[in-house]
Amino acid sequence: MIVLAIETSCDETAAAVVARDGAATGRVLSNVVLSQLAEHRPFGGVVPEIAARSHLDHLDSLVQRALDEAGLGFDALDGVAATGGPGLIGGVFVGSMTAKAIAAARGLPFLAVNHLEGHALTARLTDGLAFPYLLLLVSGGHCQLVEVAGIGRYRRLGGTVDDAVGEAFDKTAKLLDLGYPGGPAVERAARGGDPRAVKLPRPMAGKPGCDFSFSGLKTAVRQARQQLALFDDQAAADLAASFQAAVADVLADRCGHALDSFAADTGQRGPLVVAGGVAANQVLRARLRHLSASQGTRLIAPPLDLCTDNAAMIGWAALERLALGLSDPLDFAPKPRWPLESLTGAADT
Amino acid sequence: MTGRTLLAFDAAGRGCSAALWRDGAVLAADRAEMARGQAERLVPMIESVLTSAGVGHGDLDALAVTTGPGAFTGVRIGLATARGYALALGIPAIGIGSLAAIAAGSDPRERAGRTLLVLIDAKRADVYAQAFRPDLTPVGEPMAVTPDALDAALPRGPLLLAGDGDAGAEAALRAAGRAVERARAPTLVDPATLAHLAAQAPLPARDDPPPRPVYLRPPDVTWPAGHRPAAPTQKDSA
Repeated sequence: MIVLAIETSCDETAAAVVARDGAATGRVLSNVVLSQLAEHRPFGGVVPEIAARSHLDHLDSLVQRALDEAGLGFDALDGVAATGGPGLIGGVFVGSMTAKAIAAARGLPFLAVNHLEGHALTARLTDGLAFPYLLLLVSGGHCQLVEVAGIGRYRRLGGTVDDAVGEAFDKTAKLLDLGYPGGPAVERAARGGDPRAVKLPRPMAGKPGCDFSFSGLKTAVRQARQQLALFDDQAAADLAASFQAAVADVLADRCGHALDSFAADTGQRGPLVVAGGVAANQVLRARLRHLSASQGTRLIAPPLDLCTDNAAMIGWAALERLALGLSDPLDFAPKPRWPLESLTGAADT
Repeated sequence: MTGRTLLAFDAAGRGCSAALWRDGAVLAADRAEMARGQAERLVPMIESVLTSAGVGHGDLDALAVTTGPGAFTGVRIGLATARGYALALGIPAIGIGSLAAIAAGSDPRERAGRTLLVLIDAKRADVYAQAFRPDLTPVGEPMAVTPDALDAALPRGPLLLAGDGDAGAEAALRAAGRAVERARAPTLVDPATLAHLAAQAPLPARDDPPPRPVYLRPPDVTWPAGHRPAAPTQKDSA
């Protein structure tokens, strides 16, 4: 089976063609992403109306490019998918309507894919991972630990009580004048810094449960910067490295608790999957890999281009749903909020 | 041009509508008024209009869609749908301005001897507006304008008002000494009129750019110092 997939829920316009064979092995035939970064950079964050306008301007030609790169026409498709939420709703409308129109025009099933499910199932595309597994989903808008039991079967073990971890990176980058987007900027600056230079709190670490909190850490970064007599590049690097180390400690602590809960629920220890844009951070990956090894399990982290927002993951999630006989009606309403645990799979999976 | 089979639809206004048009006749049409929900209704409505008309997707020669101005989201819902169908079917999409489409739905006898002013609700202190001669030639470009600035922007003489916008425009024009009358025409785009306009338009070539939205307003953002464009764009259309 082959699907065309569209992702427009934030600031990347993306289209992909993905295939799944009878043995449930996935293959990405094309995966094109057009970043709107330059359009949003002056504002230090994503401006929803600018994003929505840009998605409309570029999506149809990007879809054509994805088909061209896959060497396929519409005739070869078995379904058309788009992110149906959660996300910036103006962009989700553009992607969903484009996919509905293509599906209707070609008489194909339409699939409105939950963006978070796209991230959650990516490890099955890249590593052929079997259910169940523990998922740490970390991005600019999300931060949660989820037991993935099957397609549409998610149990949230914990999540952030305030900022998402990617948000904390963005805000820290802003405080340290490192630019936007904050994730790569902080990671770059931190390479030249000492992670023990500045004492920062580890919010939630050591507490029971699997919740996160990052707003206090952001405040501590602001205070640390204010207390510096001299704020130069080295000071920024030290603060960036100290912040990143604090995030790594918190994520490792929370994942440790989640691995315990997961083992109690499922009788197996891991594996741990990390997904979402923040999963592109190499320091965090290394820390989670170390944690997994010390707990007798392994870390699965998709390649970088499948961690950040992309349409291949939407295509894969759609293929998993199609294989179960699932699709969505053409009157599907795009959803700005759409928690993973509200999803359902096939009745008997 | 007759002999074309056209699918026309609109989602830029207070609702959505679709019509199937062939050889100068409407074979099927549907419309629904709604403040929101066009994303749910539009594609099923289009499909049921095609079914009622007994026309397959492969029989279509072109699509016609309104390009706004209107609610930004509604404008994009219509255009994304049109561009999706056009891409998947390999046929052109013809963009028609919403103000021109409403103008074309007015009665020529009512228009005689006066300027037609079409107003679309902008949900703000201003209103989207465009003026037309009795033969429907536009007098100026579409604009977003406050009611008190309308009088100076229009040709002298009596006015016929059409469209669902007002924001105090009618009162302001009367206060400026204008003879103003409301048209009896529908305030929303009629998809049959839209199809008729598209049938008269030249068929876009394969390489022509797809229809683009007419927002008339830049995104509502606070520009950081030093980044604001030199001149804010009045008209954001191709």
